[in-house]
Amino acid sequence: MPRRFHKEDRAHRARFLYLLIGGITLLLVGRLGELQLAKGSFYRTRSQENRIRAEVLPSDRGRILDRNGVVLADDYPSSQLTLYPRHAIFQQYPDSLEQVLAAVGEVLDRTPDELRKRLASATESRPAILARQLSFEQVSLLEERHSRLPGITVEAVPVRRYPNGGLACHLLGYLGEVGPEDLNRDPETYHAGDLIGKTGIERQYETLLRGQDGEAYVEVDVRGRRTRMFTELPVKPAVPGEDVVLTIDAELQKEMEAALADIRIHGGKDGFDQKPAPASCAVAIDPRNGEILALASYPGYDPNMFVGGLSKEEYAQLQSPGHPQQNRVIQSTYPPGSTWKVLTSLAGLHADIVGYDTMLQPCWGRYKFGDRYFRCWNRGGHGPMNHTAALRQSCDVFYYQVGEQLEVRGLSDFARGLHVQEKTGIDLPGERAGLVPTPEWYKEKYGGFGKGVALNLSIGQGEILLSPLALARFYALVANGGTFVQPHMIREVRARDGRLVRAAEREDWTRGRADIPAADLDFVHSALEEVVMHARGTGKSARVGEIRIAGKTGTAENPGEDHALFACYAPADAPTLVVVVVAEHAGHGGSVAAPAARRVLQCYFERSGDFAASLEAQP
Amino acid sequence: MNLRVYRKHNDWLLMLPTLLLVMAGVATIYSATRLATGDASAFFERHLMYLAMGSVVFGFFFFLPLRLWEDWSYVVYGISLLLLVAVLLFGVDSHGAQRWFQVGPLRSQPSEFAKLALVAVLARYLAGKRVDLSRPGPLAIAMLLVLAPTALVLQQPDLGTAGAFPALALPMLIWAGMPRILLFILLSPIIGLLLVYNLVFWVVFLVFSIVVFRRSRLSNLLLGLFLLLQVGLHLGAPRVIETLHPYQQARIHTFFHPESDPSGSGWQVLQSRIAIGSGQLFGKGYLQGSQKKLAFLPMQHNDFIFSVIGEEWGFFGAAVIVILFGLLVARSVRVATQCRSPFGSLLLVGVAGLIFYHAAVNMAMTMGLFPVTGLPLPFLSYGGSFLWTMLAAAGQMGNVAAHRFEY
Repeated sequence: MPRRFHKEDRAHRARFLYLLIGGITLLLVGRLGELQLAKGSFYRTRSQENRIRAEVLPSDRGRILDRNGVVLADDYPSSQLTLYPRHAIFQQYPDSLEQVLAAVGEVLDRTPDELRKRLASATESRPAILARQLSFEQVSLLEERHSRLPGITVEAVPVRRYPNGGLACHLLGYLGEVGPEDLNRDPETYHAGDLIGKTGIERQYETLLRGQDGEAYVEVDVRGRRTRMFTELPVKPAVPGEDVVLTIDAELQKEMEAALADIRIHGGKDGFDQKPAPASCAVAIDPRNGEILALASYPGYDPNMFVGGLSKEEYAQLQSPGHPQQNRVIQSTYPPGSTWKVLTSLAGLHADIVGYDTMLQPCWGRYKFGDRYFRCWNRGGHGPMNHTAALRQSCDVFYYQVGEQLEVRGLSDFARGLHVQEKTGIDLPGERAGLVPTPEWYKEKYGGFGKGVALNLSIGQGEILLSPLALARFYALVANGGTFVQPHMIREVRARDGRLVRAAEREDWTRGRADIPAADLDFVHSALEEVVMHARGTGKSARVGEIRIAGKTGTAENPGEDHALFACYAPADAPTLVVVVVAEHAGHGGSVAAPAARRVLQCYFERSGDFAASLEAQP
Repeated sequence: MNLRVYRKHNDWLLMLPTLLLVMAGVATIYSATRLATGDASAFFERHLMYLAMGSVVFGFFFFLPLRLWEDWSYVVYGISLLLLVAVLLFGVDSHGAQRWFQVGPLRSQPSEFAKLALVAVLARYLAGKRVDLSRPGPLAIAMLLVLAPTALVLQQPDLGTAGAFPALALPMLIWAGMPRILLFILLSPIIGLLLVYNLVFWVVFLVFSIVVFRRSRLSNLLLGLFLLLQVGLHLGAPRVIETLHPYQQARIHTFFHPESDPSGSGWQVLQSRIAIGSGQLFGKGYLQGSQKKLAFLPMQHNDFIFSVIGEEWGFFGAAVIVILFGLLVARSVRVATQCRSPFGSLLLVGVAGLIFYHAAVNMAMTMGLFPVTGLPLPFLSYGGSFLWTMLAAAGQMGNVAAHRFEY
C-alpha cells in the first residue's frame, strides 16, 4: 500500500474532512435557526398573508333610461362561473384542471376545449369567467359537486339586461368581451374577459356607464375559493357607473318600430303585396334642439342574447342578409330621391334661376336634353305649372330645368354649404358620411361628366347619397327656419343617487344659421304642407286628423325595387318634430313610407301632453 | 460472493440514516402532493414505483464485487463520456438545456450516470501505486478526468450538475494525498468569483494568498501567475456572466435580490423561505403546512421538498434532516479511514462527497443561501434517475463498508 494511504495520514486528512462536514452542517442548521427561530414569527405572519388574494370588485354599470325614466338597460343579479387557473393547485396537478374542465363542461354542455380557451384571460387577481348567466339547474348541479371542483366559484354578479327585448336595440348597442384594441388602448381600466360596450349608447357612453372597478382582499382556501373578506387590508370600493338618460321616448320608439315592421312592399299600382319590406328605418328628431325622440332600424335583434355569449343559431341569425345589426339610420346611405327637391328648389331660388311663381316649360311626361329624353315619374305629364305646384307634385321635368341651369357646381356648392353630406356628429358610433358629388369628384372618378348629370342630381338621383339621419337634419333645418342643430341622444347624466351630473337638455345644441332667406323657407313650408294636406298631394297618407303636416315623398331608383322615402315635419306652423322614413325596395314613398310616418306622428301628438310636461322642466 | 461478510460487517450507522432519509422523503412527498380530496396523488404512487426500482439499483451496487467495478471503471467512464456527447447531439430540449435522452416513455439523464463513473475512475486512478499528487503529471491527469464530464455537462448547459464533478473530486484528491496548498489554489478561482462584486474582501483575499504562498515556499513565479489569474478573473467574470443563459443570469440576480421579482424566479426562494421560517420550532404539523397546502411552493415534491419539511416539522425536523446528512457523510469518512483497500476508501469518499454536495447545495438553496441551481435533495426528492444515482451511491457505501477489512 502506498505511503499516503497509511493510517496516520488518513486520520489527519479525515480530521480536515470532518471539519468541512461539520462546518457546512453547522452553517445549514444555523440558517435554519435564523429562519425558523429568530425570524420564525415574521415568516409565520407572511405565510398567513399568503392566503390573501387581491380581487377585483366589479363596478355596477349605469342604467340607460328614456326621457321619461323608462328603463332601457339595467343590471340584474345573475350567477357566473369563474375559475382561477393560475391557482397553484392546477400548476401542481395539471390533471386536475382537465378533470375540473370535463366536469364543468358536462354541466354547462360545453366541451373542455371550449372552456380551456376561456382560461387565457385569467390573471393573479382575476379569474377566468367560464360561463355567465347560469341557470338555476346549473347552479345547483355545480353546488352539489362543489367539493370535487377546486378553483371553481359560482358567484352572483350584475348582468346587463335590456328589459324591453329588441326595443331600440340599434341605438342602445350591447356589451361584449373587451377586444385587443381596447385592451391596448386602456390597459389600466380593462382586463381580458371584461365586458365593454360594443356599439350604440353602450359604446358611446362607456366611460360614464362603466364606473371604476374596486379592489378588495379576500382570504382564499386551499382550492382558491374565497372564505371571507379580509378586512385588515383597506378596500378600494368600486365606483358605480352613472345613469344615462336619453332623449328617446320609449313609447314613440315602440310605435315607430311597430310601424316599420308592418311595412309591406307596394306591388305596383294595384295595391299591397303581403310581403314585408326587407329592411327599413326611421328617425324622429326635434328640429328646435336636435333631440332624437325615436330612432329605429329594421330588422333588429335582441341585445340580451349577447350577454351570455351567442349560440350558433343566434350568430347565424345576425349574419342573415338583412344585416340586423346594422343601424340603417346612420350606417346606410340612400339616394334621397324627390325628398331632395326641396334642396334643389332652395338652390334655384338662391341662384335666382327660379322665383316662387316661375313657370318653366310645361311637363309633357319627359324632357328633351341634347339627344336624350329625361322622364318625369308622371308619364302623362303635369302640364304647365309654377314652382309651388312643381314642388307639391314633385314634377321631375320642372327640376330638370332647374338643374340644367344650376349645373353640378351650383347644386353641389349649395348642398355642401348646408353640410348635408357630412356626418351629423350624433352621439352614436359608426356613423357614415353621405355624398354630394362635385365636378372634381366626377373628374377624379370618371374622368369627366356630361351636362345631363346635373339633371339627375336635381331630382335626388345619380350619385347623391345621404343617411336617413342626414336627411332628417336637413329637414330640421328647413323646419326650424334655417338653424343648424346637432342631432343627439343624451339628455341627462345622473349619479346613482339621483344627483344630476350633466343636464344636456339645457345645453345649446344649435350650430349657427344657414344663409337662406326666410321667404324662401316660407315658400318651401307652404309647398310641403300642400304635399300632405292638398287633395292631390303625394304625401296625403301621412295626414293625422287636422294637424298641419308638411312633408315630401321620395322614390329612389336603384338596382332592384325602388326605395320608398318620406320626410316630414309638424306642426307646419311651428314644427316640433321631424320624421324621416326609408323603406328599402318597397315601392313609392307616398304609399309605403308616408303611412309609417303617419303612425309615428299620430303617436307623437297623442302623447304631446307628456312632451309638454317634459319641456316645461326646462328653465 | 461471500454473503457472510455483509452480515458481519454491515455498517448500520451508514445504512440507517439512508433508510431514514428515504422514509422521510416518502412521507413528505405524500404530504406535498396529496390531492385536495385527501387521496394520494399519482406522484406519490410513481415515487413508490421509482423507489422499488431504485432498491434493485441499490442491491446491485451493494453486492457488486468491488474488484469488478474497479476493473471496468475506465470502460464505464468512457461510456459515460460518450453518452454525454450523444445527449448534446440527440438529447431532448427542456427549458433551453439538453439534458435528457428520450427513449419511448423513458427519460434518462446521462449526467447522473457520469457522476458514478467519475467516482469509480478517479478512485481507480488515485489508488494507483505511483500516483503522487504533489507532482504535476498525475495531478494533470486527475484534473483531466474531472474536467472532461464537467465541460460536457456545462455545454448542456447545467451549472448545478456540472459542479457535482469537481465537488466530488476534491475530497477524493485530498484523500489521495494532494498537498493542502494545491487545494487552496484549486479553490481560489471560485473564491475569486464569489468576491467579484466585493472589492474590499477581494483585496484581503489576495493579501491572504500572498501570505500562504510565501509560507509554502513556492516560487515567486507561481505566485505571479496566480495573481495574474486572479486579476484576469476579477475583470473578466462580469463579462462572462453577460454571456450566460438568461435563466442563469436571472437566477444569479434573484439570488442577490430575491425581493426584486416576487412572482418570478425570486418567488420560489421567497415562498420557500416563508415556508421554512413559518415552521418555527415544531412546525405546523405533518400534512398541515399552509404554504404547501395552498400550493404556494414551487416544485415542492422535487427541488423544494426541504421547504415542506421545514414548514411541517419545524426546526426540529429540518435540523434532524441536516444532521442525518452530516452523520451519513462523516460516518463515510470514518469508515474510509478503516478501509484497507485504497480503491474502496476513495470510492467511499467520492460517493459521500457526491451526496453531500447535492444535499448541502439543495438545502442552502431552499433557505436562500445559494442560487437556485435545480439540484434535488438526495433520497428525499421525487424520484427518477437522480434517486437511482443516489441509491446506487448508497449501495456502494454499504458495499465498501461491508468489505472494509478486506484488502
